[in-house]
Amino acid sequence: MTNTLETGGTGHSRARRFSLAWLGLTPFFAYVALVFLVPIGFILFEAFRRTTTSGVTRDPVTQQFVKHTETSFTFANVHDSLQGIYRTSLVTSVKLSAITAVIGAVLGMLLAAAVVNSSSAFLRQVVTSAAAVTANFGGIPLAFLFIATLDANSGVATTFLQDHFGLSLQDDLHLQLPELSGLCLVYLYFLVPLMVLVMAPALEGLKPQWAEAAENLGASRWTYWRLVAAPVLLPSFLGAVLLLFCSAFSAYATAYAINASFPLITIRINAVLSGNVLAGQENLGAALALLMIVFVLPLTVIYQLLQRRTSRWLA
Amino acid sequence: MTTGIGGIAGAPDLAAAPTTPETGPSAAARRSRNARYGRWLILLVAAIYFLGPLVAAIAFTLKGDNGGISFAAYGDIFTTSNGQTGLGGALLYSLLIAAVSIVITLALMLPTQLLVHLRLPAWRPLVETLTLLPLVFPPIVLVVGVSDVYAWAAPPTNAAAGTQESFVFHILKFLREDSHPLLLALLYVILAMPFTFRALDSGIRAIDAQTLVEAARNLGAGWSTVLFRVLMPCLRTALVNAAFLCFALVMGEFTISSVLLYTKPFPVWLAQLPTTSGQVQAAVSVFSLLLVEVILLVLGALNVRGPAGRKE
Amino acid sequence: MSSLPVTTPLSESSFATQRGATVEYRGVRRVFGATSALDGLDLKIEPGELLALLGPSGCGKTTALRLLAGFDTPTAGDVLVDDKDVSHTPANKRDMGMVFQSYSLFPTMSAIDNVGFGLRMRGQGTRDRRDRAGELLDLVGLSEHAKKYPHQLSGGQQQRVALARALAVRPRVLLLDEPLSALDAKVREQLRDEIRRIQLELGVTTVFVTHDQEEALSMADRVGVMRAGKLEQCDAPAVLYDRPATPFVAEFVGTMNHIPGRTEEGGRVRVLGQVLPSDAEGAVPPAGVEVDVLVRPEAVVLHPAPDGDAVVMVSTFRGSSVRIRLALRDGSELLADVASHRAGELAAGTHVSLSLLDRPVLLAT
Repeated sequence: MTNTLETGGTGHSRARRFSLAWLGLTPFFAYVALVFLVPIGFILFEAFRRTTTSGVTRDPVTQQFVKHTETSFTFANVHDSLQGIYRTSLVTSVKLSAITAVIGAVLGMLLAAAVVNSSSAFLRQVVTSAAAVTANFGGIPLAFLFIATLDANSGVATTFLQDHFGLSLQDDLHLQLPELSGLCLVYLYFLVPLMVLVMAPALEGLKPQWAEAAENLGASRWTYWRLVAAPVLLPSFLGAVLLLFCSAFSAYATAYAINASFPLITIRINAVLSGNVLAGQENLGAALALLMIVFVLPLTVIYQLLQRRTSRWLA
Repeated sequence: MTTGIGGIAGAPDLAAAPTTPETGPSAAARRSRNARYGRWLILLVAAIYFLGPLVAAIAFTLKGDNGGISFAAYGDIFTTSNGQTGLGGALLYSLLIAAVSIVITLALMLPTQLLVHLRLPAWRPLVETLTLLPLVFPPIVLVVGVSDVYAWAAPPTNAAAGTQESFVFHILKFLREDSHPLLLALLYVILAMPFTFRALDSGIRAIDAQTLVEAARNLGAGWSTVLFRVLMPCLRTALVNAAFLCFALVMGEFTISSVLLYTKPFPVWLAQLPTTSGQVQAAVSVFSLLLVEVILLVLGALNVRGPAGRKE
Repeated sequence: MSSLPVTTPLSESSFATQRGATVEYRGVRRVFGATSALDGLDLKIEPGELLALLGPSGCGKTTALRLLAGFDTPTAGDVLVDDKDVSHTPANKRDMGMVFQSYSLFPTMSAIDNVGFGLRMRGQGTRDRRDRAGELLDLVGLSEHAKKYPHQLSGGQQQRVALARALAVRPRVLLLDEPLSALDAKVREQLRDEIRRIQLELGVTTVFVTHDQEEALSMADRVGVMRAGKLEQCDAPAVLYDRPATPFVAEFVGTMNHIPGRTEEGGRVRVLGQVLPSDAEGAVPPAGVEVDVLVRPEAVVLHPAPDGDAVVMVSTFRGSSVRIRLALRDGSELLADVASHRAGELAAGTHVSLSLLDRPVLLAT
């Protein structure tokens, strides 16, 4: 790459030119540092601190009670974050995320395959934009749509099934909105489109020549998928599962609006932040947040590595 | 003029009558037919699943009190309130935040990405990784961090009244003001970064910015001309895409705004509508989802018919 | 020029063996909606022959190849291999080997696994597969690269592996769909010779699709020139070059000058002041008719002459020869090829005198 900076002043050395360009990135770095890295840093910091009351004394002048606090570094927060309801919330969040990630990945794969192979550009456009909408915007409105449909008392589908088929959504289909089953169903609504968005490019990257060469050499359609296409798609697929997991794990709005009947870690964090905790556990929220980071960060790194592998093959 | 093999006087063999109709019974045709059925089945199931709740919600919103159809819910959209503001107020609030976010995003990301692309390609991996971080750290985590920053900057709870607030806290308090929630706008820029970076990046790559810049400067253009008159018009689609991604994110963002106790942004407003009006909640949901989807489709259609030579 | 197609029975042409299958297209048509990709193809390919299908994009050559491979079914007509109709046999049962223009190889398999794929489909054990695949990699000169993956190989190497893979299964017919088009010029030339050498050694019937006439003419036993779904001429390269059957073939293969002339008695024609015999098979055109005489650039003879009828306008160096564009007195242009050592005396602006080699010339009807 040649540096095409204009030669204003022949005295400028090459080193000087490069450093000037570097400065241009400072707004970006400064922004990311201030608005993002600092808060994250505070989490790491606060997760290991705890403020305890070391005593109460009476101020001689004002006669008010004054609480003395001590702040120390401790693992107590982290310890607490793995106990009781928080532990349960972590476990259920992981369970919910894993289940929906796997189901969403499989269904999303099927849908992506169906869309990619279709010859209608309109269909592809509709699916792509719908996927973009639900993946990003969904949250609250989505939850209300499902409440309107599946609410135990007044849901449209609930009453329809009851009146016309005598089926109870709850007893016969074991589908209840605030329960795990219902929540899974709702989560799939934005996880499947995410899967489609991620896998469609990978599927499109399958060269038709591979399928034809395989056929030419005597392979059946199934053998082609098994020996040629699947190995190519595997890294993308696994990466996508991880992505879905992280997305489900991090979901907040949908879970909030549906009012899940079991604890989820994201909802728990909000509860802690709004002060519904015992005294001295304010930093518990940070510990919980740290816990989430510990889960999501490695998964994202693995995802990146898998992506790199795929691009090598599909280049 | 065809050549009949088999001699100079050869004429095409007319005895070979056509035996294969276009949709022949060969195995290949059968296989592709099955595949087509399978494909349509999948699409049908998907359509039922994705459109079902929408249709059901619409049916729900149209339920009249005496069993008939009533549009009352849709009328009520405009009069309902969460105690702070109505639909218009909420939409406007979010829209303004979105506008600010978009401006900050474009002003920050476009020059940065152009700089990296044209001058500092070695920095690209670092910049790209940074833009992906918000994907790694969920919004709920980010808001915990923000809360912690505010807690740290605030004067201690047991301080005597009249203690001087630190300068940092002043700024933070200003940003957080309900009337001008710059804090939200700033945070949303970060949240949108993974998507806006991608959108701008593919646009910059597609137009071969390097060549354009060299050509323009070769013809004597100054830097501002290059940026505003050469690059930005070419990047129009990418800019619109990035702006729309940011817009969709802001209009739908609930986690950060609700945990920070704002009441006026649209999703928070929606969630806080009195639950007695389940129909109205559903009506607003339907309305907003359809609106965003329509905008996206329109944008998508405009993209396809983009500037000549840009799109396939 | 004759109005009947000129064909060379294969017994007269270069090569025929007893190995390899016969391929026949009988009245094959392929229609896509409103367009006819193939409009009645009749072609018979002899065992062991390398037949090149040559033509511009859209002429139907790739369609013809794909019909033979089984990736498509004809709308009408039959495709026969060894006199058996294969039109309804699925592609994976036709026992052919195909090399594609690009992306031939399976990306997640090493070279040797790629080559052994067809054998694996036929149920051969791992040991046998490895041996045979190794043999073929040897044949194409890539034994040291056996364990490499496609993305670690150059374009030329990838195509060689693709060739080895196609040949591993001892196919009845070898199909090549513009295999060299995506490669660099130098690599292309090398591979051209290699493919021909291997093909001759193995005696496998080969159909080779290309849009590059140099490739077709240098490699093939016969070349089938196609246009708009029809086969215009199918002959040995020399015949195609010297006796093009249609104006399209005359223009497409090599370059042709069009010089106005006038027929004379006895099938002779007067052109540029010379009287030459015309190469008309069949009907002899009557005397006194204005005709278009087709002359190859190498048949134009030039000498520098201050009072010459023509002036050199542009002289293009092409390695062993120089192509000279001349302007004639009447404003028309001619192309002439001369040996490059003469380039000096024929620089731009030189006046030259023209004559044509005393050979039969073609007339365009």
